[in-house]
Amino acid sequence: MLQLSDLTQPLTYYGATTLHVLGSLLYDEEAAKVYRYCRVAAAATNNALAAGECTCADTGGIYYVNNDMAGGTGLGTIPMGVAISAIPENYYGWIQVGGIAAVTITDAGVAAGDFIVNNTGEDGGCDTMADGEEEQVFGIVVADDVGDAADVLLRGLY
Amino acid sequence: MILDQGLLYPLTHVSSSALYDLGQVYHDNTTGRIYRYVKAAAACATDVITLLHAVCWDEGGEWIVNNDFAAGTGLGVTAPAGVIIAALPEGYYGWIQQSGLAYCIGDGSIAKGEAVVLDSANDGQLDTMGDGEEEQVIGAAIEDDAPNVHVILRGLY
Repeated sequence: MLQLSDLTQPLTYYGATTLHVLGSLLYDEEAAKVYRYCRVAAAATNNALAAGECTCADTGGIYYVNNDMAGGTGLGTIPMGVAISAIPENYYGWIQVGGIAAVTITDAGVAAGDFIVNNTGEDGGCDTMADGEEEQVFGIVVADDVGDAADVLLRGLY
Repeated sequence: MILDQGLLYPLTHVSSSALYDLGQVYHDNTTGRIYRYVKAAAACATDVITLLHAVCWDEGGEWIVNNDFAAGTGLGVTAPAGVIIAALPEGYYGWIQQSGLAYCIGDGSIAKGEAVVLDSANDGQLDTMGDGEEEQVIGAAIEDDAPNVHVILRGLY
C-alpha cells in the first residue's frame, strides 16, 4: 500500500486530474486508517461529497463514488467508504475504507454495536442494518450517535 | 506485505514448489488490488484450476484453495478465498486475487449491482446472493454477466 510519504499533496487534496491510479490504497500507520483513491460521480447530491458522508458505488465506472444513494447513478446498496473532505463532482480524491471513521449523517438512531449500512433513504447517510441487509454492512458503530454523528469501525471495504 | 521489489517472478507465475511463505499478501500499488500466495489442493474439480475461477478454502491445510465447491475437500460456498489470476495445477503454488476489481465467471444470471457468492451448483463460478447467503458474499458485480463479469471483491482480505 501507499504510505503518506508517497503523497505529493495532503490526504484531503482533490484534483481534476488523477495523481494516483484509481483504486489505489493508502495506509496511514500513525492513525491506523486505510484510504482509497476514487473519482466522484458526474452527478452527486449537492454537486460534491462532504466530509463524513457515506458513499456508494456508481455506474459511471470502477472506483467512481457517489453520495446519491437513492436516485441518479449511485448504487446505494454497494458501500464504498466515508468521505474525509469535500470533493466536487468529477474530481479525484481519497475516501476512508478502513479504521475508525467519523460519519456525519446517521438517522439519529444508531447505537453502539450496531452494524450499519448505507441509508438508501438519505443521501450520504447510514443507518442500522435490518434483516436482509447483512451483505451491505460496512461497519460497526463504536458509540451511540450524537445528533447525526457517530464513529464507525469500517470493515469489508477493501 | 511483500513490496514490488520483493517479487521474484510476475504475479501470474505458478510453480511446483513454494517461492514465498504460504499466506503472504501482496498489494499492487498500480492497481490497488491485493493478492495472497496459496497452494492448489491435491484434488480439484479440474486438474488445473481455470483462470477466472473463484476458489474456496480447502480442508487440506492453511492457505490451500479449491474450485470444488460441492464435493471433495473444498470447504465450499461458506469459505470463499478469492479468484484465480493464472491457471493453477493441483498441488501448485501461485497468487490469487482477494481485493479490488476482479474478472470472474458468472452463472449467466448476475445483474449489475448484485451481491455475489460462490455458486454451489457450478464449481469455480459465481451466483447472485440469495436470502440466507449474506455471510457468503465476496463482492458486488459492476455489470451484467455474459457470463464473465467484473466484481469488486470485498471482505476476503
